[in-house]
Amino acid sequence: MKCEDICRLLSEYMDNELEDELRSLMREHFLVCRKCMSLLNTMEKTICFSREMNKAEKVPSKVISRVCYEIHVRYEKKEKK
Amino acid sequence: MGNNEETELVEKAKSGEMWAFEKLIRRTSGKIYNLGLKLLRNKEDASDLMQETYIKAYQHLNSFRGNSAFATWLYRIATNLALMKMRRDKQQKVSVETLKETSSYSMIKEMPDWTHNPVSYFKKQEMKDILNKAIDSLPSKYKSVFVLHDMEGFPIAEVADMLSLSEPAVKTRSHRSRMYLREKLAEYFNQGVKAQSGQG
Repeated sequence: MKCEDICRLLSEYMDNELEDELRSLMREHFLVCRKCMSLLNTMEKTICFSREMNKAEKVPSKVISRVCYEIHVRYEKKEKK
Repeated sequence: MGNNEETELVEKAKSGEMWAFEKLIRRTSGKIYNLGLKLLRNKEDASDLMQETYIKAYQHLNSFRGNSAFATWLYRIATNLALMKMRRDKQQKVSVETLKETSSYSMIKEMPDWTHNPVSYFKKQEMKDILNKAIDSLPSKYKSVFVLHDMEGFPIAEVADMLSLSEPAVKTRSHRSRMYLREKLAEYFNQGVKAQSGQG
């Protein structure tokens, strides 16, 4: 397997979307190719950072109240008519 | 929320019981608000997106058949509303051509493995800014795939369903986005390493 093939299939490898046979071939390649191993590591870390650096925030309660109020105003009136 | 409880609340909301819909809002709003923050990047827009999403969901509640979780259905509505807003945004985006290039093996400039560098070694906030700026520079149709698949953790098939795309299209966009962001981080780390070695 060539490095170009590894690069092309890397995301599918990470997402576990490949057949077992193809995965094994890629694993074998990673063991002997530092460049591709580095590509895999840096790609995984990039995704990891993206998740870590955008941790979930609490919704301000006034925002929830505003949404509920808006729906009540719009639809309760209509239903009463 | 258990499936049965959710189904019951949706059915009650469909029959006009407002309290049930309000309960669904309170239980799912965290997900929708945070999706808005990731896609639109500011609290005001995320709040507006949340409001538009629930209003649209209420209007179309009868079309929700329960084939997916209620939150997944909301994600689909919110993402499509956010996509419309992002398309109106005039912010400079990286071209699809560049994304194709950065995902090609022959064009990869930086290959050193920086994953062993301790993050604290660099300024965390600086790294966050660089990464978020790069995510924001993705064209909206790429950014939505990256956020839903890599940041929110939805599988390829669900992202394809939410965005009405084929699975191969989602895979291509996901791969190009990842490769581009990896390249941006590689540039940052390599500059950091060069600066540190220059100081020595």
